[in-house]
Amino acid sequence: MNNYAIEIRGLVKKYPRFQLGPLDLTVPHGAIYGLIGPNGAGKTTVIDLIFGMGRNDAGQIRVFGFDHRTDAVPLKRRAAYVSPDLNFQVWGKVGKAIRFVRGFYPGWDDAYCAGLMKAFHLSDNDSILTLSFGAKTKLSLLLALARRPEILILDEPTTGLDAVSKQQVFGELLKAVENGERTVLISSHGLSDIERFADHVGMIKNGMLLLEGRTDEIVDRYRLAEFFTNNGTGFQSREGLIILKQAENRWHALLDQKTGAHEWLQTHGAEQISLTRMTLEDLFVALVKEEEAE
Amino acid sequence: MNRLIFDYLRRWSLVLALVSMLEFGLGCLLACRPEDNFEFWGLLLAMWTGANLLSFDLKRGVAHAVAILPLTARQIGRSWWLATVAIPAIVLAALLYLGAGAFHHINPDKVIPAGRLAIVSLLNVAWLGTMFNCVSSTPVIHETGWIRMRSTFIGRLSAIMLLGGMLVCQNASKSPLKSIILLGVGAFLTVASWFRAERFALGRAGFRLTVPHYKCPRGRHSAPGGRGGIPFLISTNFVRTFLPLVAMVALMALIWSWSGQAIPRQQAIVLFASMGSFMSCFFIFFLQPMSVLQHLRFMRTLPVSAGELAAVMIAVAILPLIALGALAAGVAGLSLGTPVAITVSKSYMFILAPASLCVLFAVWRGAGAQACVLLLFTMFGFFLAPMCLQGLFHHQEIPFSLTGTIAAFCVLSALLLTRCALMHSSHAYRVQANPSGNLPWVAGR
Repeated sequence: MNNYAIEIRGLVKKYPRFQLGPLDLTVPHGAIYGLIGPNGAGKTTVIDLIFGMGRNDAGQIRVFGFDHRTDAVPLKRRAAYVSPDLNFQVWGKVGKAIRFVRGFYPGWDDAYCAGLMKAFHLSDNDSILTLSFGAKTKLSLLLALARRPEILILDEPTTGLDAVSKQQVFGELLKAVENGERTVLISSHGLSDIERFADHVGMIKNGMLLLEGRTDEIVDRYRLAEFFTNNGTGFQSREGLIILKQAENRWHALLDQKTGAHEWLQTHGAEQISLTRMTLEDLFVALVKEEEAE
Repeated sequence: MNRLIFDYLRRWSLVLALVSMLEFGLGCLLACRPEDNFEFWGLLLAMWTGANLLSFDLKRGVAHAVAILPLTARQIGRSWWLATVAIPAIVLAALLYLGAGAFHHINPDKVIPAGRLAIVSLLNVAWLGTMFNCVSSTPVIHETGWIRMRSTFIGRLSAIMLLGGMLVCQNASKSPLKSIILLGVGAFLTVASWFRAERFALGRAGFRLTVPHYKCPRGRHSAPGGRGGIPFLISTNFVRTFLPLVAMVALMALIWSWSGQAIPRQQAIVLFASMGSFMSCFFIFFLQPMSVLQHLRFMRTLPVSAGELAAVMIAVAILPLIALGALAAGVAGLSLGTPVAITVSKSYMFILAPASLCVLFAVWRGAGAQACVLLLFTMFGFFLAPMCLQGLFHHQEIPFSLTGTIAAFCVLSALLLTRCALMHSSHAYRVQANPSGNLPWVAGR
């Protein structure tokens, strides 16, 4: 077995108006991997394909070495999926939904389940129809965690949650992964949460991977550069340098420190260059805007 | 209000145009053969101009979308009432008379059966009002006591009226007793639907109207006993489906025996068995949407192979039909003799074919309009197919072996193709806007 919990190679899925990939993405064992991207980037499609919802046109997905098509059942025994979109209403009561899901997993942890019920303020007799949006998400998370999965895949788990509930959900997730034996793949628009929570991050846009790596390394690598020019020198985006804004002789740019763009600016007439550390959200907005401008 | 009415009419214009042409044809037929019974076809056409169409919109979440517009719940409900009851009733009546008038114009020797046309037109109003109640008379979550009882009563009465109407409507325009009962109950339900129209927006928008009132302490949980997983899924669905089906078929038998049939006994038994099995299949897919279809996205993340999941889905649909068929055949055998039992069992065996194919179509196309059309074509096709096969083989009934072969072939094909659709199609996994609406009898309430 290699070091990756999820290994996606050359994944392609074609729709009439959208194509995912070719996409290569790797989630290391024990990592908390944040999959980020704008709406319609293909995040949910990637997750759907992992669970066999629809068939990829090319490429391969392996989870703990299991092929997502030929070894679907053993893969799903180890993986759990959480999303606010999951519909448990048909079971009527929370207790019945638990009974149904519990039947699939011999390793179901009743004590842990009871603890999560307390933490999430849920009860067996609660009607699922009357649960709030956040409570439904918590139920989804409870059903995923209590089976003690080796990998948790969360699709927008914090959508519609208030700040307290979000803290609660992330708290339980952190507890679940603290021994480093579990892997988490989380797709979210809450980039501040991802920055705090995820140790790896992958950014996709229009079905393609823009960047992937350790969160701290990625955030460290990019800087917001502000500089001035005299004598009408003009700059255009180039490798490692994305021009974000220009007002007269004052410039703002996204700068990739690995590419030597800083030195390049100094040697090409930029003056008073000041570099500011960016948040993941700033970086995301800058990269997505740059792609759109192209 | 006008905008809502026009929006509805514009979106369903093709279906309404098709039904209008058929209604015009029905008017011609009534004028051409006034002695024949066309009431059942009138009912079917009325169904496809009324709130039945609106129910498809509701499944796609239209109630939630319009509830936020600057209109009161009463305005929304009454707009839809006008669009699905009043306007279709007027147009259908006009088309019936136009059709009859056109026929009379070509054949002046034929008399226009004005009285019969009037009763059929009035019956149309009754069906449209009843349909509206069927779709709208859902007890809203916060309703309790008398108000809830009233909603439940009107909902149940509408269902009985529609179900009973299908069985006794033949000859209704010629029988004063039937006409009085159908028109009386229909008039009551139509008037009630106007005054209760605002419930449409409140009951179907899917809002959580009250703060949940928890009756038990928070965090209470005890490890569930018994088996979970697939056996739990199948047994729960079986009970939820089988019991209402038994009640429905028993009610149909009561109405059928009360109303009496003008056709020969053997033909009446075959017709009743076909209608009973057809309505059971209709109930499973349209009135009690299969729960497994609603949470297919979640089911696909569980450790169940696509083949096993396909088998489970088909089993969930056909097991109640098999059990009901066995029960109905047993009762028929004991009370009417073995030949009747065989007729009934053949009918329920035959319906397994469309039931399994409906599962396939629902998975392949998801819970959208395409799937609805496919399901309806399949069901009505298989309802009419025995008549064609009987003509083809010059038998009064289809042989048992042929029925079994057709059913087995369709079930096996559906199993293989559903497995394929589960692996290849993405439609079924896309989240649908509250696919079952808030129907009172839907699982999970």
